[in-house]
This record gives sequence, C-alpha cells and structure tokens, in this order.
Amino acid sequence: MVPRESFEKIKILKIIFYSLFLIYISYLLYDLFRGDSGRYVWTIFAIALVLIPFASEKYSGMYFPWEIKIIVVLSLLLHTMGEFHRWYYTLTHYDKISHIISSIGIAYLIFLFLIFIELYYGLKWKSNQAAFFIILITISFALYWEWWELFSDHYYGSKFFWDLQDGIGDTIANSAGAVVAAWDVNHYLKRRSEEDIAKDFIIQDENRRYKIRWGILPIENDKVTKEEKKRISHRGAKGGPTASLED
Amino acid sequence: MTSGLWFDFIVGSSIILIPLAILIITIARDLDSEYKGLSRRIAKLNRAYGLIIDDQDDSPINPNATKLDEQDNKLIRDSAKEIGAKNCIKDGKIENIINNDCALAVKKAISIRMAEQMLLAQKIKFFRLYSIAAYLLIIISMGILPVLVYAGFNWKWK
Repeated sequence: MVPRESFEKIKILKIIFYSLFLIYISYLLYDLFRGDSGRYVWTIFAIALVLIPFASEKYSGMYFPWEIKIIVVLSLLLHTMGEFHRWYYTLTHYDKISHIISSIGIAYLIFLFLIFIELYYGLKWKSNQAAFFIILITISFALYWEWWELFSDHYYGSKFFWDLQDGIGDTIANSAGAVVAAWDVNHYLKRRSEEDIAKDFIIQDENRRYKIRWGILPIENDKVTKEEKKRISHRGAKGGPTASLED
Repeated sequence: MTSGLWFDFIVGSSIILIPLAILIITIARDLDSEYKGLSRRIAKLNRAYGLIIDDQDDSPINPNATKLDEQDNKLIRDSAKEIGAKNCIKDGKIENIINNDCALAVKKAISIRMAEQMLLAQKIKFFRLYSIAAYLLIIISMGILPVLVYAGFNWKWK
C-alpha cells in the first residue's frame, strides 16, 4: 500500500478513483435516461456502497487507503458493466476476473476492520494472524455466496448458479483473490511497526485531535501531573536529588 | 437441498457465522488478556512504589525486586522527565531510589496504567454489546434475504 505521505502517488490514485466513479455515474445517467428502473435502483445502491468508505473515514477518523477505494469501485463497476454489456454471458472468463477483484476488495475491507480493532483496542496481532483471518473470512464469505446462489436457485427459481464446474471455478478465483490480498497485508504488516501503522491509518482533525480514543496512543493524565508538579515545586526548596537522570 | 428451506438456510448460514464467531471470540480473548496484562503491570508498579516509600534508610533498592518491563520503565522515565524528577532511573531501570520525586514518577505511571485499564474495561463492555448486536443483525439480515427474494424484491426474475 502507498503511505499517506506519498502525495504524488496518492494524486494518481485519486485520478484513477474519480475516473472510475465518473464512468459509474455515466452508467447511472444512461439507465435513468432510458428509464430502466430495475437497473438504476441497483446502480444507485452500488454507488452508495462506493461512498461508504468516505463516510466511514469522516466519522471514525480512520484513513481508508485510495487503493482500497479503487478496488471497491472497480469490483462494483465490473459487475455493473458485466450485466449492462452482457459480458458475463459472452466473455468466457469475465466472471472469474470479477470474482478475483471482488474478493480482493472484501479481503482489504476485512483487513481495515482488523486494523481498526488493533488500533482502537491497542491489541498487538502478529502479521500472520491477521493474514489467517483475512483468508478465513474472505473464503467463508465466498463459499457462502456460492451456497446462496445454489439455495436461491433451488427454492426461488433464480439462475445464479450455472453448474458445479462454474461454482468451483468461482470459489478458486475468490480464494486466489483472498490469498493475494493476505500476502500483500502480511508483507505490509511485517515492514511497518505499530507506530507506523498508527500514523498510516489514524487521522487528526484540524485541531490535531482524534475523533475517537485510540487504544494504541498513550494516555495523558493531566490532573495528576498538575497536582504532582505543585508538590514537586513546593518540596524542591528543601534540596532535590544530586545525580542526573540517565536514560 | 432437500431437507427443507429453513434447515438448509441455517446449515448454509453457518458457513459464514462460524468463522465470524471464531474471529469475535479471538478478539474477546485478546482483550481479556490485555486487561489482565494491565492488572499485572499495575500490581508490579504498586510493588515498586511500596519499595520506594518503605525505603527509609536511603539504601539502594534492588532493581530485580521491582521486575518492571521495558514499557513500564519507559513510562516511569517519561513521567520522571515530565515532573522533573532526577536520580530516579539508571541504565533504564529503577535504581538507587532515594528520593520522593521518583515515587511521584512511579505514582504517575500507576495512574496512567489505571486510566488505561479503566478505558479498556469500558471498551470491552461495549465490544460485548456491539459484537452480540452485530452478530444478531447478520443473522436477522440473512433471515430477511430469503423473505425479500420470495417477495419478489429482485424483479429481474419476474
């Protein structure tokens, strides 16, 4: 992932994100123009999902990396484009690419959740523990998705689950995405210290305050300090220690 | 897919509910051990504080008796710097404590650790509430999903 300090790289990522977002908006406008209510309701819902990271960033005070925002918008856009242009049905491996990108997106969202837990509660997880949970939850979510397709087809007559071969292929694609994201996360966590991770993800407001009380940051006990300082200054007149403080 | 809708639904939902439960339990256990770790730190700091204030003859205190780890030593060092207490720490350990200033630094470190523990206890309480609420919400939304589909929410099939 790109560190927050790297403004030039962030600038490029922002351009990519907003370009993808504009493409999404153009699909929405086209659907609205055509009056295809079945499609534009879902497109609005998907756009709302794309905007959730911004809302979370504002209210939690935790930075959502632009790469993750791009993956979220890309995975939803791929789905919309696949349905709109019928690529799901005409392009052979389009479905698998969409599954890989979506599972990477879900894996990174799980990573963000784990980072939030670590920073908020001050927990110290090993990088492989985080990677394990990213793979576990992403793959179980992928399996649940495939199961849900089968379930829905069986009981409600939908046509989500094509055949067993396709289902296994989708699960392999999802697992591959989870492994790629977990590998990247493991690599990131190994080379960054706790302080670096806190700097990467915790945002201060304009008054240099935090939105929430992060467990990873030290507590200042001002009340004790003031009282104790008064007592120290009072006793200092009697003659203090002679040796210097050695660190 | 032949054992009935709700049986199939419950079995299928466990695919995601069980790993989520494992994650929640792991976090809860880590929080618990973090809380106990803070309790141990406070106990050791209290012991160090007791050793300092009981030291009436100005003799050096055995640093091994305090058994503080690097994090607590650092906290005392920072507190000592902040309140201007000297002759408190030598070579990163509490040593030759012959003045009350150092006791104040340790006392401040205790109060900081206690504040951390209090905050963590509050967070653990909310974590329990939130995790149970989130888990129930996931189960409910999973239950709503078949109802929504049945009601023809996805009108693409209709």
